[in-house]
Amino acid sequence: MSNGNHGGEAAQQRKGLMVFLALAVLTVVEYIVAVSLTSTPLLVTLLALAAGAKCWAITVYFMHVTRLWRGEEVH
Amino acid sequence: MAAAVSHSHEHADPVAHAWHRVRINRLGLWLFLISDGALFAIFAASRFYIAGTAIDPHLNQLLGLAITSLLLLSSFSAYRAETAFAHGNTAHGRTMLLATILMGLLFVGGVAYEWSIAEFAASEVYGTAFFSMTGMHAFHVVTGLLFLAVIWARSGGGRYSQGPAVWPVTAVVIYWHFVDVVWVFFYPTLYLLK
Amino acid sequence: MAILVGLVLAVVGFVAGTGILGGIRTSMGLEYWSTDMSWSVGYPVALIGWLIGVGGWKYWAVEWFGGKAATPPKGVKRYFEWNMDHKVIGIQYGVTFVVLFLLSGLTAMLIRFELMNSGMQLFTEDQYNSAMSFHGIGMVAVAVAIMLGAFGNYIVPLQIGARDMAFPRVNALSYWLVPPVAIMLIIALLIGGWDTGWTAYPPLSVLTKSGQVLFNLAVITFGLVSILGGINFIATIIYERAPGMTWGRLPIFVWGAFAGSLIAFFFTQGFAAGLLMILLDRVVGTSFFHAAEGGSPILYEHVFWFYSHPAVYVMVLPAFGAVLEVLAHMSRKPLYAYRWVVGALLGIVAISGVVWAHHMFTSGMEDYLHAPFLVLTEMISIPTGIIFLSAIGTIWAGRLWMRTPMLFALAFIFNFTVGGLTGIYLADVPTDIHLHDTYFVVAHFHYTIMGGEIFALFAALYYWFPKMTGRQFNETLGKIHFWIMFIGFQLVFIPMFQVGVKGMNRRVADYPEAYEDFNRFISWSGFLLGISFIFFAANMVLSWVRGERAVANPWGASTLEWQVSSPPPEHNFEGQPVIQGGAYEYGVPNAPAHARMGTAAATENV
Repeated sequence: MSNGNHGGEAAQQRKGLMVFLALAVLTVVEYIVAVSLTSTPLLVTLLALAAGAKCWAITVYFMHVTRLWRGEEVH
Repeated sequence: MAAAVSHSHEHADPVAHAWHRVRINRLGLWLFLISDGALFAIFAASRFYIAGTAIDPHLNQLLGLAITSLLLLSSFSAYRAETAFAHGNTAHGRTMLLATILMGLLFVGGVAYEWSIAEFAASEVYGTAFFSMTGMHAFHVVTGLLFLAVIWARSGGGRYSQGPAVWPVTAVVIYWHFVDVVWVFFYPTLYLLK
Repeated sequence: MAILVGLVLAVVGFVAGTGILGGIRTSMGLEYWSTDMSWSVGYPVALIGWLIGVGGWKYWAVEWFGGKAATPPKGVKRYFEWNMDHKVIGIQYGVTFVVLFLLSGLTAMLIRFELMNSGMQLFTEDQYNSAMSFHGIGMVAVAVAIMLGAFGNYIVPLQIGARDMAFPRVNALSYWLVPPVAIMLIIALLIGGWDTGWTAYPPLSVLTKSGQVLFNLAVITFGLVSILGGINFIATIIYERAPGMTWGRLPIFVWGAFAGSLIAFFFTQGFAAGLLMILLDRVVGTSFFHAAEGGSPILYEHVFWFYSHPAVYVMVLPAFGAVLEVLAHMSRKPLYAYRWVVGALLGIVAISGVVWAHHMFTSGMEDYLHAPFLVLTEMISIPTGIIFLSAIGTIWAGRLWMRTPMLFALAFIFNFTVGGLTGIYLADVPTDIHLHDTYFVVAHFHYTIMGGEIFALFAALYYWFPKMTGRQFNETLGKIHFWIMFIGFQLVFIPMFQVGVKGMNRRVADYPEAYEDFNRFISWSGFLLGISFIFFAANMVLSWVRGERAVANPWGASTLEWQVSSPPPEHNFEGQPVIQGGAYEYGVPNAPAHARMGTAAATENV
C-alpha cells in the first residue's frame, strides 16, 4: 500500500514534505510559463497538464483517495 | 482485504464496527466533494463560456501567487496535522492545525484585499467570473476554517488519537485539501491565462 | 411543538439577518430594505433557525459543542419533529409530498378552468403565470423526491436487510429542509408570484419581480435535499447490505433507487448553479446573463438542462424499479432479464448526462451541436427499451393478480410507451422545430412523468401501504381511483398532442378561438382526472385510521421487507437475516429461499 499508516510517523511526514515540494515546484513552473509564453493554446495545454498533476498528487497523497477502496485499517 | 463485502450489523468487535463507520463516512464525504466539485466545475466552465480565456491586465499577479502559495502551505500543514494525530502525536497535531487555521485566515484576508483593490467591476464578464469564483471558493475556505476551529477546540485530551478515532480530523483535513484542489484549478483559470 | 419553535426561530433568524443587512445598508446610505437582497441574506439565517428549532440542535449539533444529544420520543409525536429512523422519515416524506401533490394538482384544475374558453376567465395574466409556475415546480419537486424520499427511505433499508440508512442524521436534515421549500414557494405566491415557470430562463428571470428570488432560494434548498438524499442512498446500498446480499441479488427497486441517486448526487448542482447565477446577477450585479455586457442567456439553458434533463431519470429510474418489483411479485414469475435491466439502468445513468441540449434546438445555440444531441438522445431509447422488454417478459404467461398496485403498474407500461414514442418527435431536430414550446411537449412530458412516474408512484403506494401503515387499504376505492384516473388521464393528454401539432403554444393564459373546442374537452377531462384523487385521498385517510390490520405479507412476496411485521419493529429485524438466493425465484425448481431470517439469539455469533 502506497499511503497506509505503515512506515512510522517520521517516514510519512517526510513523504508529505516531498509531495509538498513537488507541488510548490509545479506552482512556480506554472507561474513562469504563464508570464513567459505568448501562445494561448500552448499555455492552456501546459497549465491543464500542471493542474492535473497537482490535483492527482493532492488527491492521492494528501487526501488518501485510495483508502476508499483499500481501507486503511489493514497495515 | 478490507474492500471485501462488509456488513451493516453490529460487529462483535467494536473496533471493527468503528472502522466500518469510518469507511461509510469516508465514502459519504467523497460523494459530497464530487458533488460540490461539480458546482465549481460548472462555474469554471461558465467563465470560459462568457469570457473566453481573457484575463484582466490589472490583476495583481504577485498577490495571486502569494495567496496560492499560502493555501498550498496550509494544505501541507493540514497533512502534517493529520499524520501526527494518526500516530497519537496530539501535541504536534494541534500545533499544525493552528498553523493551518492561521494560513487559511491569511488567505481569506488576501482575497478580501484583492477584492478591495480590484480595478474591474463585477458587471464586466471577467469580473463576473472572478468575483463569483473567488467568492464561492472563499466561502468554502471560511466553512473549512470553522470546521478546523471546532476540531482544534475539541482535540485536547487525546480524543482524536490513533485508529478510527482520528476520523473527524481526517474528514476536516480532506475537506481542506479539497478546497486547495479547487484552487489548483481556479488559480490558472483566473490568473494565468491570456 | 417542535415545528412551532422552528417557525419562531426562523422568523427571529430572518429578522436578525435582514436587520444586520439593513444596518449595513443604512450606514452606506442605502435604503434599509431591498427585497432581492434582504431575502437572499435573511433566508439562509432563517433556515438555520428553523433547523435548530425542529430538533437539529437538540438531537445533533449540540454534540459539536460538547453536549449530549437527546433521545427521540416514541409514538405519534416523533412524526412532528426531527427523527432519525428511516421509517419515520419515509412517512414524513410521503405525507408531505402527497399533500404538495394534491396542492399542485389543485392549481392544475385552476389552470384548466382558465383555459376553458378563449379570453380571460379566472386569472389575470400575471396570476396565470404564477399558477402555472407553482404547478410546475410543485410537481417537479414531488416527482423528484417522492419515490426516493418516501419509498426509498422506507423500503430500501428493509429490502437490503439493514437497520437504518448509512447517515440517519443527514437523512433527518434532508427531510427538514423540505418544509422551508414549500413555505418559500407559498410566500413567493403571496408577494406577487413569479413568471418564469419552473425553468427560470433568463433574461426574464433576471428582470422580473422579486418572487423569482424566493423561488431560486427555495429550489436551491431543494437541490440540497436531493443531493444529500442521493449520497445517503449510495452509501447505504454499498455498505449496509446484509450478508449474502450480493449486487446480483439486490431487489430491482434498490437498483432503481441506486441509479436515480447516482444522477441526483452528481447533476443536481447544475440547477443550483444556474439559479445561483441568476441570484448573483440580480443581487450583486454580475453579468452571467446580461447580453449587453457580454454574458449569455444561452449559458443558463446549458447549465439548467445539464441537470434538468437527467432529473427526469431521477424521477423515473426508481419508478422503473418499483413497477418491475410489483410486476414480478404480482405475476408470480421471476423478473425477466434481471441483469439486462441492471445494465440498462446504469446505461441510462451514463447517457443521461450527454443529452441535455435536445431541449435547446430552437434556442440559437451552435448549429453543430444539433446532430450529436439528436443521436445521443435517441440512443437512450435502447436501455429504456430493454426495461420495457423486461416488463413485458415478466408478465408474459404469468398468473396476473389484478389488485390495485398491479393495475397501476400495467398502466405505467402503456403510458410510458406513449410518452417514449412521442419523445422521438421531440428528439428529432426537424420535427422539434415545429413542435417546440407547443402543447405537444406538455402532453409528452405528462405522459412520461405523470403517466409514467406518478402511475408508478401509486403502484408503489398501494403496494407498500400495508407495510408502512400496518393497515390494509380499501380495494374497491383503490380500483375506482385507478379507473377514473387512467381514463381521465388519457382524455386530457391525447387531445393535447393534437392541439400541440396544430400549433397552440404552452404557458400562455389566452389562445385563439379556433382551439376552444379542444380546450373545453381537455378541461372537462381534467376535472374528471381531478375527481379521481378524491377517491384516493378518502381511501388513504379512511384506511389509515380504521382499515383492517394488515398481515406481515399480504402479497406473498419474497423480498425482505415482507418477512417482518407490518409495520416493521423498531430495528427492522429481530436477528441478522442472511440472503441465500435471488429475490424473484417464483416457480424456479430447487431455488433457495431469498432470505433466511435470523433470530435474536443467532445474532450473537455473526
